[in-house]
Amino acid sequence: MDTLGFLAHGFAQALTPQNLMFAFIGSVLGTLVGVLPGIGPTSGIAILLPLTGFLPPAPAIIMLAAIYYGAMYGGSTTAILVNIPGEVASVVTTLDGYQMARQGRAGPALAIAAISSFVAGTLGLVGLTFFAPPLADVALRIGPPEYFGLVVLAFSVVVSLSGPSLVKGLSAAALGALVALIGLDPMSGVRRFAFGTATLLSGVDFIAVIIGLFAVTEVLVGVEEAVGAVSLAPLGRLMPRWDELKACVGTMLRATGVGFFLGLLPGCTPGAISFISYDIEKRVSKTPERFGHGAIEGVAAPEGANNATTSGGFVPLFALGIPATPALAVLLSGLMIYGLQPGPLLFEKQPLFVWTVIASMYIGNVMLLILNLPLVGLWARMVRIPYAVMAPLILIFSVLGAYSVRNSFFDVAMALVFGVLGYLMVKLAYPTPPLVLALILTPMLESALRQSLNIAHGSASIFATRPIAILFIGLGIALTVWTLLSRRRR
Amino acid sequence: MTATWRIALTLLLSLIVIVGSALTAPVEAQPAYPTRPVEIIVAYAPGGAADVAARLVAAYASKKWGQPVNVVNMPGASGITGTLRAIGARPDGYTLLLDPHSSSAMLFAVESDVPFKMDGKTPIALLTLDPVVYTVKEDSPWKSLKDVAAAAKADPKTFRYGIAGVAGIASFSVSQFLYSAGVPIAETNRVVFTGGAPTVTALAGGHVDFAGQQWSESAGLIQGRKIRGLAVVHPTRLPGLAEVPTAKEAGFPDLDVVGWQGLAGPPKLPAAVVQKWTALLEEASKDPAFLEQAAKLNKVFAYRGPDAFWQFQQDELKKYLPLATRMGIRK
Amino acid sequence: MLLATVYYRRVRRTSLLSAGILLVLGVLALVEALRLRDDWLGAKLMPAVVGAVLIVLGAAHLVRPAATPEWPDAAGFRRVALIFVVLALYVAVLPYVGFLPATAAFVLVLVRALGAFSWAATIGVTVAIALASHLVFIYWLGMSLT
Repeated sequence: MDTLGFLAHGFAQALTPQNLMFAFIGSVLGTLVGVLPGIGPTSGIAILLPLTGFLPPAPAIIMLAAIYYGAMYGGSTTAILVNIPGEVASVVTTLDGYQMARQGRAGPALAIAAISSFVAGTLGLVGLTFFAPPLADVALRIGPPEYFGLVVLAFSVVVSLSGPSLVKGLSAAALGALVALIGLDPMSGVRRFAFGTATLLSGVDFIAVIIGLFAVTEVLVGVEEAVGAVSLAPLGRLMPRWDELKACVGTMLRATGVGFFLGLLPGCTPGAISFISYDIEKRVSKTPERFGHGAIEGVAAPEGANNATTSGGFVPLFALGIPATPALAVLLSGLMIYGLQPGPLLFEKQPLFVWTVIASMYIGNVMLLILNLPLVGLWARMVRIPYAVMAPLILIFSVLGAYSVRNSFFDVAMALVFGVLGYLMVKLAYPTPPLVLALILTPMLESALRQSLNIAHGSASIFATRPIAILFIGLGIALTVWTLLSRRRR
Repeated sequence: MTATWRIALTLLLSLIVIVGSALTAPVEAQPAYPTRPVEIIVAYAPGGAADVAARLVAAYASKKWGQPVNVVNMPGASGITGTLRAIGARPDGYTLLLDPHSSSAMLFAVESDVPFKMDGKTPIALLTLDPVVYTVKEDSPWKSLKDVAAAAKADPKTFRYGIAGVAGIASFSVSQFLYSAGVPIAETNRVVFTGGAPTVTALAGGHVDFAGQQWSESAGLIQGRKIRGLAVVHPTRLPGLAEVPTAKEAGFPDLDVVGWQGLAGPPKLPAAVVQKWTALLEEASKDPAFLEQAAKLNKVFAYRGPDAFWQFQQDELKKYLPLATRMGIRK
Repeated sequence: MLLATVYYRRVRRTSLLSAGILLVLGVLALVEALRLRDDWLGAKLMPAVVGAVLIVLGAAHLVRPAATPEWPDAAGFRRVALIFVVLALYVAVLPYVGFLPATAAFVLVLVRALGAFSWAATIGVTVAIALASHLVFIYWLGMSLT
């Protein structure tokens, strides 16, 4: 097929010293930006977009794509080291990654994150290379009823993550759902839970909540327990053991599948996808009780899923001109300024450009791996920095990160509020992941449900007529029931 | 002894740093504007219609003036948050507002309780128009607006149209069309999405049958042959959409809902600042390279000066107020 | 015997508190749902559903016995409270005083409270952290905190 020929041409172009340099710079910048909490891929690309203004189109796009992948990876570094997810998709990485860091295994955690990201991202790019146009058409078939089914499926993860007390897990989730409803309803414009103030009207920002629940809470707990550092355990090996790597192969493949296919669907947030991937790993594992306490698959799965999602998100972007996430929307406007008209005609009209960009994404993935594996040693040592130095750094990062999302001090205040709430939750043994998951999923649930009902003139019968939706809903219910039963047995 | 010296020195050093940083606060704006980076606040998420317009103009201004003009996104509360921040900034010309229809005329047509006034900003210029394009799925049996009208009248209960937000531009544009076609709206299915992109995506996937979003939101899928444009609300056909007739040609000359983006500043903005911008934008409106870039971003560059812009906003409000009341969305 | 009743009462108290909070939030949500002027299938739907769920869960808290919370000792609690208050003060003065002065002060207090460093090291660390964060966030990334 022509595809391979074009791809070869693309590689020839992408491997020029100039383009390689830009891919490298982009990877570095993206990683740095991703490490800073609150400044995720979206703001990162938005901030760095002007920098590419003076470049010709191909290098500029190469750099932007490298920034995107880099930011996705950078977010996981702080997630593992200090329990601060760099962005939404890294939240799940904190569950096991931070635990591994505390056990002195920050090295293997970071390494597996890099490796898994590389494998999944690259495999996802293969999917993009060969299957983009037909996959894009499939993505269009997924409408509101199917999304609803998907969200129902994702909610079943809440049950799985509830820990020993189901009531506490569900309470945390309900709380998260309530917080998600604060503000202007994006569909009808009705003001909810705003109590007449203009600040609450914008709702509670998600990143601010995460920074509060993870970073601030962790510092409060650390201060209370007077820890000397994040981890005083002796630093073990920097790389995962051989048997661990082998065990993760299946994980990486599954994560790629889940991440890539769900990443195709516009509107399916990467955060939700990483939760689903994590949950799948937990279910297929022979020793699920390790999850949440430093299971290496618990890091490999979400990290792989993230990068596969990134690759998957490029399918509707290139093939249809539809950005699957806000970060891609900014990337899209960047692309358009360079004269790239995304859409099915893109592959026909500007093949060399597209394939050069895709080829450099492959290279970008390799570059991130080469860049980050050697740095694992350096990063891993950071967990032994005395807490008296770490704590202020974390808090400053938290304050600035929360502020930077919307340039608003209200968000910083929210981070503090949720920091306290998180602390109380930790003391009272309420699990925090369900709250975060509900926060992510509730807007999706609401819009999918209302839209589905609107399509069918208010009747719920629409769900009966859509097989894929039925499949997802059925799976969700089945999984929930199964999890409940297996908890009973324990 | 040496320990005390070290302490004293470090203390002195840090004191210098702290005092020095406090002293480097920015000075007031000097006559030759701009002498430092300018911020244009966009009260919406990056990548959207408003954001794209802001970046287009910001890039041009940066190049011409040699000073960075940065776009700052402050999304939230349908544009109210960012707008409030911009209006409350110091009127020195270094904080401006991207002022689109959705936080101006259309907002005031729908909401009676907006935390700022329409005349609570200094209008600088109208920048771009983003005309409405009425669209259907590529393989839809409807080939013209008249087909759509006939089908909707014949069987309103199965007619599904998608809009981005109950008080968004598509809500106005589609409702205006349905009213003028005599379709019983109350019996149709209105499906509300959270943005332009999900709406046209759903249209392409066949989950709804009709949409009326802006050009910049629809162009990608039209060119990709996933959705088809039936009419464009503009005096002339749009570049790149040569086969799409104007609303007048399609038999509906009274349709006039259009999206637009403008530039504004906090109240009491100095006339010198406004003049600097209007001079730049006039230059831009004659610059073929700039116009071409605007067209590539699917925007019609339609510069109007401050007074004309203000008049335009008031005309828009007069247009949408009765429509909003009739649609029952006025709060 | 006395210890057992005191222990039991303490446990029940936290459960009651959690139950109370959930119930209050649930009622709040339902009230808000009723107040809104939209269809039941529109903006009212989710607040109503979430409100109902919160009330059910609040009731569930009263029914099942709760586990012991692990409260910190007095010294730990003092530390947490202190750090949080300092943090809140930092955020409060940040927009008025400027990034560098506020951050320098914040770090100084924190390092002093948490670490057993000499004064020289404390100052050194303060300057380093404050300057580094200023360089990265304010200078390089161009964040403006006014």
